[in-house]
Amino acid sequence: MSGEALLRVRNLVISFAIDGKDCPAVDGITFDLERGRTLALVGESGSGKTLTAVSILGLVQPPGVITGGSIDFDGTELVGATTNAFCAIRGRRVAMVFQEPMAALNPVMRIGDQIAEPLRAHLGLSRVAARDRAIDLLGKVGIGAPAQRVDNYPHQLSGGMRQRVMIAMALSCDPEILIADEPTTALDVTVQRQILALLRKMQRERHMAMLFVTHDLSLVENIADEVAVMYAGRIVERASVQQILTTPKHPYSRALWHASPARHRAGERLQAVPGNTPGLTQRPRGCPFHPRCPRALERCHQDVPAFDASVACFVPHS
Amino acid sequence: MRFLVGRRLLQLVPTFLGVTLLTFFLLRLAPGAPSLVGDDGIVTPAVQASLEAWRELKGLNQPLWAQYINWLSRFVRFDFGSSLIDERPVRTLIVEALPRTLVLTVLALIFTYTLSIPLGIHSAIHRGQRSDRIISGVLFILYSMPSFWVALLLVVVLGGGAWFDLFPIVGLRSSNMEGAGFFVRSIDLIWHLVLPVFCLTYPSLARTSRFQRSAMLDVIRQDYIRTARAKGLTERTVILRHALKNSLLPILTLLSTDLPWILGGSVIVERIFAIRGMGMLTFEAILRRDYPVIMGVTSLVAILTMVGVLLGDLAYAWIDPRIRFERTQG
Repeated sequence: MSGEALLRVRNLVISFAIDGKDCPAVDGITFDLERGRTLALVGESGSGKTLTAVSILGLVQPPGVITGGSIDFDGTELVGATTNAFCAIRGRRVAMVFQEPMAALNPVMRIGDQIAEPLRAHLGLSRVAARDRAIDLLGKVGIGAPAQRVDNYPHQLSGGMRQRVMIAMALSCDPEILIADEPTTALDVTVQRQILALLRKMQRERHMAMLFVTHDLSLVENIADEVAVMYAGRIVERASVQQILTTPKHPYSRALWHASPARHRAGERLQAVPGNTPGLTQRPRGCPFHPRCPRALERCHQDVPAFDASVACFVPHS
Repeated sequence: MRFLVGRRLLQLVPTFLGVTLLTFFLLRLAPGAPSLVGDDGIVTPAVQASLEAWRELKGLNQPLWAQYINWLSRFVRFDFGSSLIDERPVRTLIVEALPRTLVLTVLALIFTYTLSIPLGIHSAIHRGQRSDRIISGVLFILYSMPSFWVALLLVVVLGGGAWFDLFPIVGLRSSNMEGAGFFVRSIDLIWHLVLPVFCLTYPSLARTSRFQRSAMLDVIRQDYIRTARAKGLTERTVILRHALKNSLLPILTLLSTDLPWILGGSVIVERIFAIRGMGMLTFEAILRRDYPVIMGVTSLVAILTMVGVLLGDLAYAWIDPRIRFERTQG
């Protein structure tokens, strides 16, 4: 890793109290995010990737609580930061694009007003200036006739357009970090590609750091520089995109890759990863992946493999 | 939109017919007759004969369906008929009673909603915390106290019964108000309204604020609230600008269900405070089987309620742009 990290996450633990017991949904995560780089967090649902993403903005919903570790953003500690401190960062320096653009936009507010809000709150723009900027931003994210669209309500737009609006809103104050939480999951495949290309373009143009959260390993090739594969609240492998896609070391990364439709020809059977992600209260002892792992040894049932350089596994592929 | 309003207005017709038909026939199924005769129940042949003549005169001997058609054809010409008891036009009776009821119910409604909505929002935001529990507890205690009991208690305690003589307990006007100025009369009216409006307000607080609380809880779980927070808006802005409007939609429905009550009034409170409003008018008309009055009140309340519900739906469209859209499509 080179350069100064903009965001340093160290041993982050986020827990839920279930029946009086603290169950960690995110269990000791460490990663860095640098300016101009994109890190993809990849994992199945329940792996804690979204929780990690929202924790950076201090948006972990109770009963979830950050119980350990640190999130250092450009020299500011965000774990335990006040709401006021977060308000100065959210939308201004760290912005987020969410999964379901229909649900994530306020149904009773015009999209122009929704885009203008952060501009007015953070940059102190007047109503008129903020509206002009909103129109400008809509044009930049590829919405046709932005001067008319600015007065539309979310339900008048298609799914892809809504996600473009979300992106315009997130980019409005030129954030340093963009967090994209499954931004294409709710969209058609063709629209997915357009949105990915748009995110990539915006990230490069603005030299932003991007945290891209997805369950689909086949998406990361086009967008990420680095990939962190998460399983049961832990990062099990971290490597460059090239490495992950050509020589994944962790059996789980390999299984995910084999399960991806992009790797298969039409008509061929997908190889699903057997079993399910363990629930919060049923995390196994030892390596959390061992019940589903084809390579598991006796040792994997007992001990948790430490994260070693790029992988957390006793028997990594080479 | 205009098409929709027209269609909705047309749909009022069958509802209106249903309401009036049911009321008309159920009234006649109920035992009893218009009571001109005293409670002693002594009916001499002479009384019997004149009663028969009177029934003939009032058309009460015709077949029921003919009476209904007769009533309906006069009703659509805004002729509501006259009371069987004191011969005064039903319209006059309603015009006298309705403002008295409206001043009570509308005020009670305003107090209920202006208190309940902020309380509900506060409870939702501080869900499970002490202030939420205290608000819920107090409101449930109020809700559990029957209004006739509270009203009588207030009369005894504050109305010059046993302890304090702070508020008048009869009617809406003092007897010495002839020739008094507008200001003095207004103060007098407000003074008379305090107790009855309180009695109408306190029981509804629990219902409305719990409703607002759950609507708000539902809204603040939504993704767009998270989006609003992720923009760096203050919590106050998030709640007031993003959550409030969305959470008011269910409340609007609640408001339109209040309409029959707004127009019909409360028998108990009107009776205890001797206010001759719609509640008392209806109550006495039912006791005396004063058919034209009952029909007039029922029909008027039904029509105004239906129009109110329609207005509520239009207000919905005004708040929620999605509805506006679907309507221009349909």
